[in-house]
Amino acid sequence: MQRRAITQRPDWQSRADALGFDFHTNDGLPYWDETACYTFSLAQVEDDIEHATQELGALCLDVVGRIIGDEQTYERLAIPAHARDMIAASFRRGDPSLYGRFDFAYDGKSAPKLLEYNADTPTALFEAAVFQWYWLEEQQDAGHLPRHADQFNSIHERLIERWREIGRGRIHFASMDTREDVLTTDYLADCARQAGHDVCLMDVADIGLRGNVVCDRSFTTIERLFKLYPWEWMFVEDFGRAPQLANLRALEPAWKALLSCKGILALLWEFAPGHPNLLPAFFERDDRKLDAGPRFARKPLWSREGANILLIDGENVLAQTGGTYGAEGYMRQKLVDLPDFDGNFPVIGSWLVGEKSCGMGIREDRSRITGNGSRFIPHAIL
Amino acid sequence: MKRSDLVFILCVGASVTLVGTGAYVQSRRCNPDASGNMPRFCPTSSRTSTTLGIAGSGGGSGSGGSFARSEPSSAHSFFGGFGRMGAFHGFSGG
Repeated sequence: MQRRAITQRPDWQSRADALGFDFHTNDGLPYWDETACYTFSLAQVEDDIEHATQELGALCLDVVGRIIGDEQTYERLAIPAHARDMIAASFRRGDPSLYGRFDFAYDGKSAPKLLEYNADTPTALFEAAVFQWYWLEEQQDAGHLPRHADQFNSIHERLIERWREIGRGRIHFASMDTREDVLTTDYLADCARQAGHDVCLMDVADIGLRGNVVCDRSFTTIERLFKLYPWEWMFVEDFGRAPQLANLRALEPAWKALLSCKGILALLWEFAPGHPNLLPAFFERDDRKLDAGPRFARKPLWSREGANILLIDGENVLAQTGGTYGAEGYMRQKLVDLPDFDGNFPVIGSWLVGEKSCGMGIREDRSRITGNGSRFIPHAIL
Repeated sequence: MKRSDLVFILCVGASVTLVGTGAYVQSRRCNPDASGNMPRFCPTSSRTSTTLGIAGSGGGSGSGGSFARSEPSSAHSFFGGFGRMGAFHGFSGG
């Protein structure tokens, strides 16, 4: 694994804009950054990242099967009481999952270590699946990458395949009206359309209730809903207790809320202690938390985009972020050092579509905490 | 797809061509829908046209829906029950 400087494509901004990827630069700072790329050997991708993703995906499903319906575990994860039956029902029905992203600390030498699982509303998808691929092809054409260069990336194909597996029919796609969320949702809807689905885009605020069903603004019943909107938010909002939700088939399904909670990291460690891809992790209210050692990360059970993270080394605070999360409690995880490439700290985002590992995107930051503003750096296999 | 998946099929138009080793580099072909519209996102450098625009946020998909809103016509319908937390926290993604 190396970080290499590489010549930028001269027109990449306009190429991005034309695709709707208009948040490539925010407040004058790059989000998409192709002044450099990360390179990997095929063995690093296949034996380390892909393997870890596949294995942890299976482990997560196994753990959900063990904890589903367990009230004590729901309490530990701060799952609202009124949401528990819906979560259990969605799992027992076998409601399918579309996708998720594991975030790994990885240095190319040691086994990838899971930092967190974005199981419910992962983003940075279009960049990884499409724009990163264009980058590879065009850098090959420009002679900046060899023809044999490759990329861990069949995300696009796998998404279409997964939509086909999910079965045809009308699917509503709901998101907030922000650039990143709209593009991510629009892209997924486009994949669904290529798989033969009838799609309908909407704002989450336009989800309605009518009689016994969930509907859109034209009163069409929403039978299946892709929502780029976290379950833990939905649970506590005005419609969170609506009995009509029980009739809704959602993507991600409600059972993914269990995996979206940072507390799942502690549960994974309980069920698979010593797993090579896991870090010791504990609930903050658990006396065993001291087993995480003096160097640890404290994370809110429910949080997004790297908010409210605290990195501790003994008596010292290594880094911290602010935010609006933490009311439901915290967990702690043994601290693993991200590799340091001249002051850049990358995190591997490894995609699972359905139950198959199929690609990755890399975010890096000058901070040891990856947040919403961290840069996306493309990668190649050499 | 792994390098070990040595053979894959690249379909170009009506012809079928066997291409050498696969790896993650794949044929990324795009097919028009029944109306002749190409998918908006079609990651192949050979794509030459699209009928769909996506400039800015809030763009519709061109297929069965958009963010266009209509007013409810029934007093028995209720909207707006989701979105409050998003407005508070700001980012829904992870």
